[in-house]
Amino acid sequence: MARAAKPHLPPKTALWQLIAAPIIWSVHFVVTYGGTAIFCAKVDLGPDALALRGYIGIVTLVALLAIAAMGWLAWRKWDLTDDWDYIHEEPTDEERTEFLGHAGVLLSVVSAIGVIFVGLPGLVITGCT
Amino acid sequence: MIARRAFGVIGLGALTLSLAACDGPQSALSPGGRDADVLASLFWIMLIGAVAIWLLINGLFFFLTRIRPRAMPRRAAEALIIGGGIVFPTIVVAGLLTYGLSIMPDQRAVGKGTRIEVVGEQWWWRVHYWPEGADEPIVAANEIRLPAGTRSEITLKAARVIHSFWIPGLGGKTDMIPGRVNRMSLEPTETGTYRGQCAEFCGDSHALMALNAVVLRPESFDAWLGRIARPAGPPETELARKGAAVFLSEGCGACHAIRGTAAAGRLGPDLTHLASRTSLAAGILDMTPEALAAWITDPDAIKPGARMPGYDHLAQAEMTALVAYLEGLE
Amino acid sequence: MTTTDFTPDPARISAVPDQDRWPEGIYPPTEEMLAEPVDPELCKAQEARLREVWADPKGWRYWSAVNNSEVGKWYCLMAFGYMLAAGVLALLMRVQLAVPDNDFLSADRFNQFFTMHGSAMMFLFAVPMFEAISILILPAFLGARDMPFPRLSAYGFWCFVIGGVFVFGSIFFDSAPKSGWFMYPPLSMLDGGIGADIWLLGLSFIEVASIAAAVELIVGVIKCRPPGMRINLMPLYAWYVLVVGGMILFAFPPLIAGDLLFEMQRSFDWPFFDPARGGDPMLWQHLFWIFGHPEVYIIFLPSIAIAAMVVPTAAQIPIWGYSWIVLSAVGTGFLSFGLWAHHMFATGLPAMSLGFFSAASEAVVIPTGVQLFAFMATLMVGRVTMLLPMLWIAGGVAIFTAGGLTGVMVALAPFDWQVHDSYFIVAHLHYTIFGGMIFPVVAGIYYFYPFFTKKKMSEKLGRISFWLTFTGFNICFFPMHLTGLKGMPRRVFTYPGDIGWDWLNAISTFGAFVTAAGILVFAWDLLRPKGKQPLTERNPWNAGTLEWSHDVPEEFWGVRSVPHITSRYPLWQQPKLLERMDAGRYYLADAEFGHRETLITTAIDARPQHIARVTGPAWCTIWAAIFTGGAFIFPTFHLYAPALISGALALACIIWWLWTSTAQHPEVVKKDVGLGLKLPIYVSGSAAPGWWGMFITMLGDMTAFASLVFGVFFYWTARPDFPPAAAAHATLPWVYAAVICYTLAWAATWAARNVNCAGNAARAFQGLVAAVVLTIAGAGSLFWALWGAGMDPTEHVYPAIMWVLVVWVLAHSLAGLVMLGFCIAGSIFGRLTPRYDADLWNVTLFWHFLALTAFVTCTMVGAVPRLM
Repeated sequence: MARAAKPHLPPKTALWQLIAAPIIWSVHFVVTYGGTAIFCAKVDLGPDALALRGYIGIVTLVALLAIAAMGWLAWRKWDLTDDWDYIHEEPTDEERTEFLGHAGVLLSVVSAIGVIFVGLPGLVITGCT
Repeated sequence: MIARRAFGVIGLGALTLSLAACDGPQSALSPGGRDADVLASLFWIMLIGAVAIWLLINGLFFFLTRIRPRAMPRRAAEALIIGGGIVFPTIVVAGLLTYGLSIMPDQRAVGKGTRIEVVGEQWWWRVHYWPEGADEPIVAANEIRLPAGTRSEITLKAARVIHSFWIPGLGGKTDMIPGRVNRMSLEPTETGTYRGQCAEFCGDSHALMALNAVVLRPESFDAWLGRIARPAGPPETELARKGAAVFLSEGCGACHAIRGTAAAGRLGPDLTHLASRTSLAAGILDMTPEALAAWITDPDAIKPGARMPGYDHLAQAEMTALVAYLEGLE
Repeated sequence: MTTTDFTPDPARISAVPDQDRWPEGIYPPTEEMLAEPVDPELCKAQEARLREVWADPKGWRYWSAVNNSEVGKWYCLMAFGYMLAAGVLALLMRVQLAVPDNDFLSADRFNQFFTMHGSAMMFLFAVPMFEAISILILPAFLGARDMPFPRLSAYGFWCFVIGGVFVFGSIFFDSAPKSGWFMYPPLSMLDGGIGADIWLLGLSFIEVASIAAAVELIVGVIKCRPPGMRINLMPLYAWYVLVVGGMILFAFPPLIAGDLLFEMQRSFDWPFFDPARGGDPMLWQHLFWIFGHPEVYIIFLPSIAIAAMVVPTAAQIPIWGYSWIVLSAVGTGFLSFGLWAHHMFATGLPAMSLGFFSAASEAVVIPTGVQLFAFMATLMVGRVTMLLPMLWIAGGVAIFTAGGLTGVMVALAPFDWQVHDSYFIVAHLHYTIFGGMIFPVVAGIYYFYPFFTKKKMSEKLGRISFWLTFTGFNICFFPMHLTGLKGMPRRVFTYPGDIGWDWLNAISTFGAFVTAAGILVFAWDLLRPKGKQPLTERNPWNAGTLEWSHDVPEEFWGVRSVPHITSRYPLWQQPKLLERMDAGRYYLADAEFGHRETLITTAIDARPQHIARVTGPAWCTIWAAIFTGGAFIFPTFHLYAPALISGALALACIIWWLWTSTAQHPEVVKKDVGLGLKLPIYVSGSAAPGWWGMFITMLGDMTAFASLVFGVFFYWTARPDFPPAAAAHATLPWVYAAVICYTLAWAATWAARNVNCAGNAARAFQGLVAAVVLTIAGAGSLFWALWGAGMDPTEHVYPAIMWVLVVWVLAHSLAGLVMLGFCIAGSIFGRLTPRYDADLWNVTLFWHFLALTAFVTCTMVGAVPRLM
């Protein structure tokens, strides 16, 4: 039983992956909000504030790609297509990993929606005031 | 535009259906300006949606726990979580958000014509009118007047503590913050008097800091502005002349200004055209001789914490004269 | 059958034989092992020993108890008491507002009342109630004997009592805070009385207690689960506790940082919020609401957690969509940090920024919706019995969804401009908090009451109370939506009669009293003597989770033996579990050495790791709380000398408590815990709960520090004169000296830990002493860098905020010195040895954070302003 071997060492599946997507959401939020605060206070933006909106767009795109990557990792851990199981209530290593993967996928979806929402003002609003 | 008109029509229908209970001099639901109108329509739309969603959710809850408590297929449960938890709210909220964000720039559009600067004081409003190109403001207090049909620019400041400037009938509120200069704009569409009130807690008499916004036809507004730009005329009656003397000898001029007289204080509200205002003591008393006398006698009883001292030592005759003088400042 | 192979950790070079640190034997247990009967004689003897070890102290010594069942009960009752008191204030305010132009309350008193109502409901009821309930029931959910740090919970509780009495008591002396529960400067700065100081210092004190509770709850969930309870089998309540604990850790520190700035201005005139000297009142609003909005979810999620335990029991089926609920808890936890500025929509922020906060405020609807629909899905697939607690949950759902839907409305910035700070918001927030917190908590109390007391509350009174509260609530708050739309602002002590608000307010006042009647019926039902009533059965609701395995009548040991868990609902899915737990078949069935012990397991898979000896009854926690209270309360009256003495005494109590009762050297290296497994008793480093406690505390600490750093950048974007062109900056050579000294002090501490580990205690001792000297040198250099440059903190906000960063580092250096001193003393008196090195591991961990704090501060004072 090599897999169950080192009980005191962290298992291969780490908890941080579960919250990777929402952490990306948080970073995206801070970067867009902080950037906007600086743009609005320190930079003379033209009538359509294209520099600011471009910045928001790029940051949003990068965040979405990063969330997609995390979602993909989580999806592979979930491994839904091997047994179509999404309950994960068995006391095994496999079920635990699949559970973390499942929750990770769902969090990626919600985080992606969150990132899109937060990026939305960049599309709709044309300036600071 | 079509969407907006459609909203307007539905909003109007809902309005007529609703009780007249929603009306009032300070009601956001009886709009007299473009911004308030848009927001009131938005409210009615959101209300209809909210009632429908509330009924769906709680109806389902009731159905599941009371009407049909036995087990149902798992497929339905999954659909419920994905549909009700993710798909439905994402779509509804995204639509609402896009619309909500899109109306924001209009509400903050830059106004034209006379700019009005309002400074929040404890607990009254200092008002400066800046006609286009003016070097000096026209000073007034505790009431603003606006021309109908124009978007007027309003500059907001505060003296010591934070206040918030809000005239629900005309539009949303914006805070007045010491050390910062905020701005907003209002576009009244119908003439009339709209009551407003300070909306940010600002100390003892926060409840007693109101003001009237009087919306005039543009030509009346210009005429009125021209009138208040002038200094106060000399007192016309004997009694009023005596009152003017009382005003000066009691030192009222140390805090209050009456343009055209020696009184040039800036701590309190400008009184040059006091009697032309629709209310007294920042929107809390009617402009009557009795109210004026009561206020001068003991402001603290009417507005706790007010900085104006009481003049209860004045003899009856002096008070009558003083009130007559002030009542004459039209 | 698996015999575990315990291999050493290659990352750790150690003088201690590795097998001493790791478990040995068989895990997981086999069915044959579990089926083997236990000798009834042995079982009796074990029971007697356990009973003696876990018994409460008798007589007046009872108050020195620290175990979770006692502290949790006191905590709940105290929080409930504050709720009733704050409720009375609300009723008095409703009387004042019943008719226009009323003079029942003066403006001043009304302002004190609404300030205290909000502050007490939030700080003295809602958050503490979560902590109280969690302390009371979390160990039971996890089949643990107690929380990992019982004395810390007791300390937190006594801090809460003292701070709460101090803050709330001020109302009886007419000197309560009166600038609103949000304490916006400049208004709160102009308040000449001591009210604002009472608010600030009293509540900071309670916030510290809350963070302590959060640390303990997080460690409890991560490390104190029963063997086999993997992360995918955890009761949902534990998931919520984990999320909410994390939120407290990141939400409270910004407020503590804000409090620090605030009190520095009030006491020493450092101009953080004074625009005349470069300050800005908006910084307070940011810091307050970065706390304030997550706070709403901090009180909402635990109540939903209660619903997540009640719903499966009512449906008699495992929760449907476990992963979905975990998603929603974690997702809500994160998103709730992106909403703070929706309390500031009217402050004139840039439209683009408003857009972000509007968007995040709308996005949070999604996880909240998932939560609700997962419950409904469970009700759908199960066969629902309408238990009394379910009635309260249903009422909660009805009210909460209404509040949530108005929340969607006010999250739109333009609409909020109309209703912000109006009675519409009063209605909205009470709908969310009553529906999202009060109703589920009451449901939880009805549900868990048999667990707490082994008696049942009255079904009849419960229904009467429900209908009174439910209808009363709606009569009171529903009209307020309209009152607000008709323009009535919040926090007004009176209003004129001719605006059309009078009849609405009269209805609201009537409703408030009906609600109060409902709460009163509930309170009577809760508190009435139930002496003659027979005990309930063990699992009265036929629930599936472990808390219902507790014995009737109550035994203080919690669980007779700590079970091996293989399912989410063990009482439903592991048929012989109860019988085997009772027989002492499972782990840790004995207390042969006379210590209170609980099992520590790994974070993800809950494999047994070691035995934690938890602390027992003590007075030092109460003394520590009293002196900590003094350190916070004396400054209110500007009595700084007594405050310092009090603080020193508090520190002394805490050191005494740590020295005499934590990480003691055990009699044996390993103890047989049953089922063929032997576990070590003394561990250090990341295996030990104390290390986790330090790590988590320091995360909170770093958040507070980050908030101060945010302040610097905030002033830079908000004010064109930051830093002022002619400002004096910190002297660079001294800043460099500080960087070097702190780096070396950190390196010396770290090296001391490593050489000690490798067996060279003497060299470690030298390292510790060197670290002390270097720390003093570093602190001195940093101080001199600003002092020598003549930076006067009262002159402008720029020197003030730089000084705050430095003061922060100096205070932490002092803590670092005390810790180093603790280790040095340990080294001298034989407490710290190469074998027993937990203290040094924890102190080194603290030093990692201290070094980072010092480095960032040096960058902030040395480099950043010169670049701005």
